[in-house]
Amino acid sequence: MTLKGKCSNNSNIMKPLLTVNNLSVAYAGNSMKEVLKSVSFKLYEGEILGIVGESGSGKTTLASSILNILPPDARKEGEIIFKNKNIIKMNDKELRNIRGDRINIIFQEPAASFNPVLTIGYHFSEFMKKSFTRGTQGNIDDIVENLLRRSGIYDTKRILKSYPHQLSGGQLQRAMIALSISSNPDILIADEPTSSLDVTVESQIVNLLLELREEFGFTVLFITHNLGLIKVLCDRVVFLYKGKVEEITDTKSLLERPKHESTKMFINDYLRLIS
Amino acid sequence: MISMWNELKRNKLALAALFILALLYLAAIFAGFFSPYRYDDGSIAYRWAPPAKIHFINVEKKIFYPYIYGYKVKIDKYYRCIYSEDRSKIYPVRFFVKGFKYKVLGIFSVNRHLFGVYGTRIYMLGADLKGRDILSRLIYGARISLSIGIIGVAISFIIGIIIGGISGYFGGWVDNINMRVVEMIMMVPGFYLMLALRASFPPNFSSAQVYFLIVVILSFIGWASIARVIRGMALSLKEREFVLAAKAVGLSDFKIIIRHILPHTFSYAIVAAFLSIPGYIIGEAALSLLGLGIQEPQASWGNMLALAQGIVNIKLYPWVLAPGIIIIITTSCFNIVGEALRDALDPKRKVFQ
Amino acid sequence: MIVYALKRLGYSIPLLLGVTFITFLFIHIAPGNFLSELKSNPQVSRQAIRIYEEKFHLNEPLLNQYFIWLKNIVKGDLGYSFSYKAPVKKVIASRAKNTILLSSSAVVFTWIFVIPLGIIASLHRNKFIDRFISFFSYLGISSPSFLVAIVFLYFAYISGLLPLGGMRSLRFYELSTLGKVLDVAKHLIIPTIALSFGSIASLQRIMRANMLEVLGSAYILAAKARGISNTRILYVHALKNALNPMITIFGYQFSSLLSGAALTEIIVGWPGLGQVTLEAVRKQDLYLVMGSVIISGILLIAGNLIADILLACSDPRIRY
Repeated sequence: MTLKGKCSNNSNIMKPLLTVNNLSVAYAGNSMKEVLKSVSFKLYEGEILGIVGESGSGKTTLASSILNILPPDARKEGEIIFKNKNIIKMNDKELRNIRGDRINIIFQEPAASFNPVLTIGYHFSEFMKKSFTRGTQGNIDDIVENLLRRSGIYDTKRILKSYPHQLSGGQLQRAMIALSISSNPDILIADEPTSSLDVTVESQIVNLLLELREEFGFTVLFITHNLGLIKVLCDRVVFLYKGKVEEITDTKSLLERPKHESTKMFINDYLRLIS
Repeated sequence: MISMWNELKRNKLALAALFILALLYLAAIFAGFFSPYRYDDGSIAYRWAPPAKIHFINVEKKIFYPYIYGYKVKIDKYYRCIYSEDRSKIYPVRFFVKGFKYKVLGIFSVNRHLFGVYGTRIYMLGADLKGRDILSRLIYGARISLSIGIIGVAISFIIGIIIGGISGYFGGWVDNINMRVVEMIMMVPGFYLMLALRASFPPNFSSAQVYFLIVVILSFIGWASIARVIRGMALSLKEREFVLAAKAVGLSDFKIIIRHILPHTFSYAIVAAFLSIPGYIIGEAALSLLGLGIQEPQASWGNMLALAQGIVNIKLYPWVLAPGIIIIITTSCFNIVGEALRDALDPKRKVFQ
Repeated sequence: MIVYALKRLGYSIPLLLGVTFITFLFIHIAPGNFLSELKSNPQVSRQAIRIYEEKFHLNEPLLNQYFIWLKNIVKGDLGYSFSYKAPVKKVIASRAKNTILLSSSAVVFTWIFVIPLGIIASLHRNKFIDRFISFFSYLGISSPSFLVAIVFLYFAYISGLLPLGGMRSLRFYELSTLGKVLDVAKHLIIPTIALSFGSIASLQRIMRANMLEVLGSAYILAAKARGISNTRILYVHALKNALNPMITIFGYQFSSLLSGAALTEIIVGWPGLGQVTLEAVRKQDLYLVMGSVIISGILLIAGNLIADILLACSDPRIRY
């Protein structure tokens, strides 16, 4: 299993693309249990930032908050600043301009992310038509086929005509990645994109992400509980424990000199598991 | 099972519904006690009498107990009776009055009733065209309608569970044949089959025979759907470990079905039973409504509704719809309890097991 | 797809045979037949009775009678009706058409209400409108159709707005074609509402549940995250998925309405299969009863077949 080395730090390291300030989120019901508590971090342009934590630490909630796709009765406080605007306070129209266009997300279960009664091609054409209204050039079909080929799907015509249940997890995740890249977003959030795939496919997908990142230049927010992936992918890591940010540092420091107890425990558990 | 009951207790609406059902069945069992009059006791003088207004307090005459006035009858030019209150005489409503004799549980002869009036008639819900008390007929009718519901469902379910269990457990040709038969029965439109079966018997059956016939017809149509579901459950259950263990120990197939597989289907069966009973009650009501079921002078909610078919009657004597309202209430209660039970059994709510 | 349809069709044939046999069996298990009345009538000679018995093979063993009857069916002869003094086929034909008309109108009527009500209830979950609709649903489920029919007839009576049952007005044959259509439509209103009441109530709750489940699923969230508009998500993504299971239900609703319409037909006086069956029962007109049951059975099986095919069409997961 070969993984290409992580990208070298970019020169724009001083300019944060996304700033999260004291973000707190609580879901209704569950007696308003706070899932995220005063989370703060910065995402710099061009980097790959890892969000690490065990299950239930609030990683997915964090991703959902950035796109503001939480349930309407969830309570949100704090700021998420993107291009000088606070995402938390945006209205529907502004949000729709960001979602899919400037910030995109790929989820853990590729099969569950596609609508079972619509073809893959339909998902693409629907999405392209949305961003097309903003004046992108070229023939939609050609663009889509190019993207698919870039993502490692060569049998494009057949795939586009297929329904989600006819494709494998790996194929679906590639298609999902192609779909997410098609609007040339600034930020790509990857929420455990390989956790439900087998190991060989995992390395292919990770490599694909790195290649596409080199070519298209988007920033990646990579959410995972897999320290191995963090080690080879991410420049910096945010460690979440029970909704709170325990540590933010570069990968090397985190793995070699973890500061907090919880971080140490997490790393130890992980190392024990793989050794 | 007990956990089911505990869950149910939390749902106030379901408890209320259960309480109402209990009252209805109680009234049906002890019909004689709760009704002031016999179901066939009609007085032409009081035909289509409106419901009696019960007064409670009369300050001038210093009366503080419930009482009614008598009926003053005038016959208009269409030979209809116009009723008004005859304020000249006061009839107190008494409790535990002496009335007609009836048998409690078929054994004891008693003549006390829950309430009544001496000297005149009290029609709580009005009278029908023969002057019979609607309330009493409702209560006696409850005997027929409610019992058909329970007995019909019981028979259907017993047959359905046994056949479904055997079919699912053994699989193979037994299953095939059973399921083909089940499908065929389900493909015969229920109402038509009911009519057809009723057609095959002479129209002038005695009420007891008709009752038996209705139960048989309803059960025959009904066992098919429950059998199919139980068969599905048995199919999935038979691969579970406890069944394999029982087989390994050498338990006979019959015992396995009865002692291991069927008990797992009970909770589903009870929910389905509650939700099916209204169908049987309505089935009987429909047959009686058409004159093919319980005959006069016996009372059943269905044949009481037959009077409402003459639409004019609804306008002149709206209390003729009383059996319809009782049917709606009963059906609602069964549905509410059935759904509450189903929610209680929902695996998404189970904390244990 | 065609293969699937043909397979289901082929499967229906033995099903039909079984249905007819069961009905035949049960009609004949009963004591007495339509001739019993005649037999007890002193004015009818024994010879006449014997001729009838011969003609209708009443003295032969049961299975023989069944096969003779079956042979006739295949030839298209459903027997002879004693009360109408006409071939059963003729009596039933127009009645069956009327029943199909009523059932179809009830299905369409139901559909028109169930989808919007279900969507509204799911979008405003637990708010007032949802609870309001839910209350009426409970009421609707618990109201037997014949009661609803009676109540509506009552309202028609006092308001004078709608005809009190039947299918055609007295002056029907004098009306223009458009007038005729409108006339039947007016007569359709009450039985349609009575039939649909219960269905709307129960199906609306299912629609609401389906919508809620679909709206909470991952692909809807993913679509939202892609910035797809809420209207699009609702009508293109969510609705398609929520409707899929409903299509089978509607299909089966149609076929069950075909048989369930009988009682309402009788109350309202709609000249359909149900009404004619009741009359046949009252007169113990054996072949007419058999004919009605068979035809309604065929309609039921046909309806289910269409429902199965509809399901296969709409859900790609079943097709491939």
